[in-house]
Amino acid sequence: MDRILEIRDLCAFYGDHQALFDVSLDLERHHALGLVGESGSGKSTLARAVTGLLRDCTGEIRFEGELQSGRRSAQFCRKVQMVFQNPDASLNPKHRIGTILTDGMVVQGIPRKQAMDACRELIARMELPADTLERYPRSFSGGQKQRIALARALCTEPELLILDEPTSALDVSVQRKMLELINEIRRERDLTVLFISHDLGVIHAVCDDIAVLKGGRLQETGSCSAFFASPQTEYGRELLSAVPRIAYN
Amino acid sequence: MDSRLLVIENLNLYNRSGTQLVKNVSLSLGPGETLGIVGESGSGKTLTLKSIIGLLPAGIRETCEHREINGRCAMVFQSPLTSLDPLYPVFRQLVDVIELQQKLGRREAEDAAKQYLEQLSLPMDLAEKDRYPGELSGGQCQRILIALALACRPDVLLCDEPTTALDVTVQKQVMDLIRRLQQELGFAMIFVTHNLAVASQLCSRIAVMKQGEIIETGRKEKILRDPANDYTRELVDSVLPVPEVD
Amino acid sequence: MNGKKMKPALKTGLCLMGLIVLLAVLGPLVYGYDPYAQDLTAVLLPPSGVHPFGTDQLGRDILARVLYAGRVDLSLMVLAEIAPFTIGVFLGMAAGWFGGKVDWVITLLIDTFIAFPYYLLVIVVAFVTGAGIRGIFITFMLVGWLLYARVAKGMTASLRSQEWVDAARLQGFSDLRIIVREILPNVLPQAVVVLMTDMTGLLVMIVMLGYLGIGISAPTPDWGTMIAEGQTMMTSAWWISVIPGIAVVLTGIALSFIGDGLADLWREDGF
Repeated sequence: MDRILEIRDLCAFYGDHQALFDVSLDLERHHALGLVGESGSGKSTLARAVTGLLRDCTGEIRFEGELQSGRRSAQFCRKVQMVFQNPDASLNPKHRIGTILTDGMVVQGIPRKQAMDACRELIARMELPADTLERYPRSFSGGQKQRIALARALCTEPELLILDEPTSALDVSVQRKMLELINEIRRERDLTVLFISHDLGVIHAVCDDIAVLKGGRLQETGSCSAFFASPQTEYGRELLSAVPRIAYN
Repeated sequence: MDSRLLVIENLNLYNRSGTQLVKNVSLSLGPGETLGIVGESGSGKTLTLKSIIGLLPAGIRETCEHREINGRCAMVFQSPLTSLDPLYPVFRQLVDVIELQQKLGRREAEDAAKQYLEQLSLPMDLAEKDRYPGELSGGQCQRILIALALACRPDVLLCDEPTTALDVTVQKQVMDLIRRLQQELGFAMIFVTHNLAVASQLCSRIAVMKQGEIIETGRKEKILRDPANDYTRELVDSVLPVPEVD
Repeated sequence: MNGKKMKPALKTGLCLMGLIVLLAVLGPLVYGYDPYAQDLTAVLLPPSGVHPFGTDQLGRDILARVLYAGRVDLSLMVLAEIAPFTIGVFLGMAAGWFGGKVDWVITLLIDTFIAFPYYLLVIVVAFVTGAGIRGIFITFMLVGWLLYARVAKGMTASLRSQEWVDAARLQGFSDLRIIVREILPNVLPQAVVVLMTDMTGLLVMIVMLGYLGIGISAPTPDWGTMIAEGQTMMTSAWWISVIPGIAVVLTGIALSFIGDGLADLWREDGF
């Protein structure tokens, strides 16, 4: 078993407020782990702690066996990338898409010209318009912005992709296409995915494994097939039965 | 069309620059009926609802061939926190509305408000202690909003995505509550949502809106099982399947 | 910007300011009269074909002096803003970005300087350094940056939690790079709007100091000194004071229009 990410007894704090309580979680390489929970359950906090955006935490986070703390190395930044929830806030409004996408590669030492060419391919793969690189973020729809954010995350060819509610601000039909794209990309690139969502339908569509958070505490973990067949905990059961399903009659 | 509570024929809405936001929308609702309006953002579903209750934002121009509203309407909004006065205790907001709408004295209004608390499974201590909207959970605020709407004794309850901002477990509770109240009180309802599954659970008829137009309307069973329109089919397909729990 | 239609306010402001700058820069070169040349045979002449704006008590041509004074005042206004603008924006961004101790120190500095009565400080410095341009520079260096620092701090603190800033961090960018490349382009428009408003204030200050006799000193023409010189002759020779007064007002209006117009334009863009 090859664990790309190991989390042990993670506690996270915002000032006096504790957002995570002794969370221990493993992520298998090439698996997609769905992290599900309601608002305030600490699922985004976990992502922020893993990526080093939130430093006020205790416990151990190991990426590829290496203990992570403080500012993350350039190597880590190349290998771990993230897509955020809010399409309107995830792209700098003052930069062209070309700049947004290539800046990361340029910092990694790739010449701008070469980076641009790579981005052009990526843009085509994301089914975005050909003139995307020359345009500013505001001229795109929410779904397109999320595709651009996904492209930015993929630019550095990461191993672990963290998706924090990447589709929850989108319309349902757009969400469906975005999820299909994520599934395809994941297979093409053999990615490991940490998928954060409040929506079990989304987790079901993408993930192999699932972890349920409530109030900053891990409730249960396991394979998706086992969870959706029969949740282990009372809360898991409550969550699953609360999902609105189509009532034909 | 004698016993219709609400009839709207060919409603058109335009913004300041003349762009048409809602196009030839016709609706009709009988006593006790439940209609779901389903559509994505920008489809004009919320504007249609606001036009019915007369709360259109400034600058929207409206034309309507025929409009008939035989009864009282009340509305529940999407965002529970911003729809309540943050500096006024929630119980007093409720009592004020009852006093005004049901023409009761202060004491009777307070008693009636307590009954609403009970009916909506809200904590009774809201009546004892001054509690402000910010101190309540999203689900509780939404229940207060529903209580405020019910205090108007509506014949038609207009709901604008009342469960969208809530967590799924709370959403389920609020949906169960609305369903129960609807059966108990018998009001008719128009429920606007982007979530077809939510609409299917609460409504017997569904109208699908896209870019300001109703592109398909009919009985829920028909819409869900055999949609005539490609976009409706796409919406139905977009509901992500989740296995049932035993 | 970006092919957007400009609002009438911005257009008017830019045209007016363009005209004023053009007159101040080219006017003295094209116009025949020397602003310093005295002609005691032609004192206090009302506006006429020979002297379009009349002459003063020493027979100097008012138009020549107003144009030249514009050059002096406008260039001083721009030069005295450069340092406070730059310092203010960067200190503000540093406070907003780093928070904690950095923020505490910078906020303390801001609060300290804000506590000084502004015009009193101006007058005290002017007396210490002696009348002249140096006093204006020093005073403005002390207090001018406060406004920019506060605006930049507020904006940076709110931008810091934006997801694109997190994304930039995850790309491995250094703090300096994020501040300069990501935050600055978002703060700059707001700061420029403030700059326009502030320049009006600075111009008024320069003119006021000239008027009080502790700013730009005679015989260099400056709108303030000109207004002061004509003050006693308001009833007999109104043009000496009124013409430079109108120049000040027009420049102020132009700057305000530009500031408002830019604010509107950028607000529509979503900032």
